[in-house]
Amino acid sequence: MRRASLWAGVVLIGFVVVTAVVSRLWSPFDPVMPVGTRLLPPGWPCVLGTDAFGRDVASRLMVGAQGCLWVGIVAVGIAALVGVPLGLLSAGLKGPASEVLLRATDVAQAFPALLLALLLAGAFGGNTVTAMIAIGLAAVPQFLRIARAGALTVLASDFVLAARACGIGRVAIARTHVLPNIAPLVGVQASVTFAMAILAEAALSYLGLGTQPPTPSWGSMLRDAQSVLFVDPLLAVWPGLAIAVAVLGFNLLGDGLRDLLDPRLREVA
Amino acid sequence: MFAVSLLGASVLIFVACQALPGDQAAILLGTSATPESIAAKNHELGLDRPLVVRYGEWAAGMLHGDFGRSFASGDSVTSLIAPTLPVTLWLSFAALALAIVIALPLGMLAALRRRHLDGAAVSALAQAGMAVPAFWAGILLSLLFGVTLRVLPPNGYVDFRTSPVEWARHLVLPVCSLALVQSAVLIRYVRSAFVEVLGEDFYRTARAVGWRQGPAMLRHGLRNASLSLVTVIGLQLASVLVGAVVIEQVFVLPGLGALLVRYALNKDVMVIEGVVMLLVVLVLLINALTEVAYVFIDPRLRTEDER
Amino acid sequence: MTLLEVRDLTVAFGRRPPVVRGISFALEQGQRVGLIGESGCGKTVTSLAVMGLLAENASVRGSIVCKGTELVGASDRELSTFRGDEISMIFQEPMTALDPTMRAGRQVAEVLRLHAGAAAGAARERVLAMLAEVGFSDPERIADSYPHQLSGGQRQRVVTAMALINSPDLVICDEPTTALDVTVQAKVLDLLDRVLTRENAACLFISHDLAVVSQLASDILVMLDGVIVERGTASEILTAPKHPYTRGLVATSRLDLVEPGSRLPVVEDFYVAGASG
Repeated sequence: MRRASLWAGVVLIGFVVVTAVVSRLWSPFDPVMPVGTRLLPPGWPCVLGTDAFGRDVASRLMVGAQGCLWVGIVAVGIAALVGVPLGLLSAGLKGPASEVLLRATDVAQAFPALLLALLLAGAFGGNTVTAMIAIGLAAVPQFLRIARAGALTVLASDFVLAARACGIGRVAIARTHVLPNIAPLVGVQASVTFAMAILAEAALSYLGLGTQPPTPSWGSMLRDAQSVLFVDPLLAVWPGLAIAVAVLGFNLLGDGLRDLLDPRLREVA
Repeated sequence: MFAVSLLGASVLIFVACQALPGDQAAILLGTSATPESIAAKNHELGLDRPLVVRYGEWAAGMLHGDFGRSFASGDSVTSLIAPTLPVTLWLSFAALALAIVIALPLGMLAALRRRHLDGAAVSALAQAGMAVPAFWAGILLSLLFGVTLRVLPPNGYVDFRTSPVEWARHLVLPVCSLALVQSAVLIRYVRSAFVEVLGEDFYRTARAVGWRQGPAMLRHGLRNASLSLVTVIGLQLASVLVGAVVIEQVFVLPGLGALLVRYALNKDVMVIEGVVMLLVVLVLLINALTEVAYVFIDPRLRTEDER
Repeated sequence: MTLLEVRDLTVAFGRRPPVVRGISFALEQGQRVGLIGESGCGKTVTSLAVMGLLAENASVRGSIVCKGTELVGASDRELSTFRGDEISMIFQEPMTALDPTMRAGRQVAEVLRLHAGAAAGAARERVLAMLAEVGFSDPERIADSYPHQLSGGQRQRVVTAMALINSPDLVICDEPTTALDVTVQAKVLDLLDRVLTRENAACLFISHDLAVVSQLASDILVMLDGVIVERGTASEILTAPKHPYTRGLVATSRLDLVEPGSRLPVVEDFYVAGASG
């Protein structure tokens, strides 16, 4: 029953990944150029119809998967590469330095991803890159906390104490003991953050501050669809559905991983 | 602590916006800009002064409620923000309140009946609800109720003083779309908080003295679960405020979000800084309030009493 | 009329083999019966079955009749009227048994008002009287205290007050003193004895400690692996145990009878699992 969550998540994500990969090599039509009459209903050859500019919806949806995954990968990458080392550092530090870092994390946590993205968009102009960086930075506190909590638990365990008693240095301990044990925790967080990143990027693109046209993005597709909502309501369904599927997939994966790792986590503590 | 966080946040915001070579003037002047006119504009806006001076002026101004002036229009940022604040605040608080009203009973149900079909169904629904972008829900709701059924206005806003009824009607769909997604998130937290309660000894005691499951959960579980729930609600308020920003675009509501997006597109940093700073203040304020709430809820935190 | 009659009670969880295997026993009004056995023998499960508080995946077969009402298969609504009113239970862990966010007096009052429907003012009187009865010299202060302000022994006495305030006919005590200091143990047992006598309540006293049980119970049931292997009066069990396991239990509880210098007895000296059914 628990495993169902994990596998369902993997299946959904797999769907998105395969679509993205395939679209890199081939898509039914060019996603950027108009290919036919505007606002065609689903049929043939445009399986999902065309949008307000005459572009094939299916192709745009497929290529949009690429952007969605890229943002997730980069954002999670930034968050993990910055957050985890900082978390480890804060676990290893004692005294005022550690306190300062914690307080700073609290301040940073007050900035939801979207807010930071809006800030950066205002300063630098909105595009995919600012979105990725903003989302990544906004997720750093979560990774920091997870890494710190996990590291503290591991550092307090007997085998680490034994290692330190043997004179093994702190960096070596971090590498051989702490990292492997917090990896599952970080993995779960990564999955959850990925989902959040997809949602955030979609919102930003919808606002016009994320992926810029004509590059297809599910969020901006929704904005285009909204302007012709009365005429062709179906256009608003597909991109939203795509977002929901991707986010659901990563959430389920995160849940499944968390359930899977729960007994193992207790062994570490 | 609050003050320090505030200070830190303000520095962060200011630096993010203004520390870099501002092409503010260039944007404002548009295509007719020449190096001389840019320099002149920069001087006019005070952008050629040192960073620290500009920050100091901004920070000092904020303490008086003066957020500076928009670069483009020269209007005081405060005057731009003031009319939009109530809209956003009403939207956010109503959405969160509705989400709590929905999530509490459903979360408790999901916890109590987690080994049955109805409990599992609620959990699954919540999982799906979390994956739905709030603005998509908004679009679909406005399609269903605004266009197809025509029972509610699909977008727009009416001031409360003009017509309370119309004001309410225009807020129903935005509040619902925000609340729908928020409640999905909350249901999962409520569920896990109450599942924990179900394993507690004091719950068993309550059952042993004759309380049925529902009353036992309510009378004893609620207050104990509240600690973690208050934390979550505090965090969610931040995300609701931000979610409101997007929803305002969907339903064309003249709120803080609309302001932010419009000026972000124009890169008018003064306004952006002002709005973001305000939002951050709100978030930090909420965090501080949750700390206070803890003390109310958990008597163990109140005094270091003797035994 | 027999207060509680348990017949052929079998309890299993999920698809696992039954934890309680067809046990039968009875309690008369005011009778105190001890149920002893080691951890995992099924004694707590038996008590929870009587209360109807087993986990959802438990399947209960057999019959438990209390004052004429069949409890097995009864609805939770019906069972809730019994719990706290006619049958009550005192659990092992006093430190976590009380709601940390509610004052002690209010928790006791709740039990009274739930079953007796007393108004707030009258309830307070009864609560204070009950707290005095369980040995508090300052019931006012205790009633206004939060659980974290009370010691383990004090919390167990509050729990006892909650269990007895509606004058139940049967009180089930599941290892109520195991988690307490030895000195406090004696006081709590003494208290239980007094209060049970005063209310003329029957008691099913569960423990792994024969010495503790024999202080309170007139009759003893010995449970092993889900079945009752021996039953008798307390003195019969202690002086002339018949089943090898019981003999082992008795021997290991009377360490004062061991010859100095000789090896201490263990249960395995008398009984080895699997040797007899």
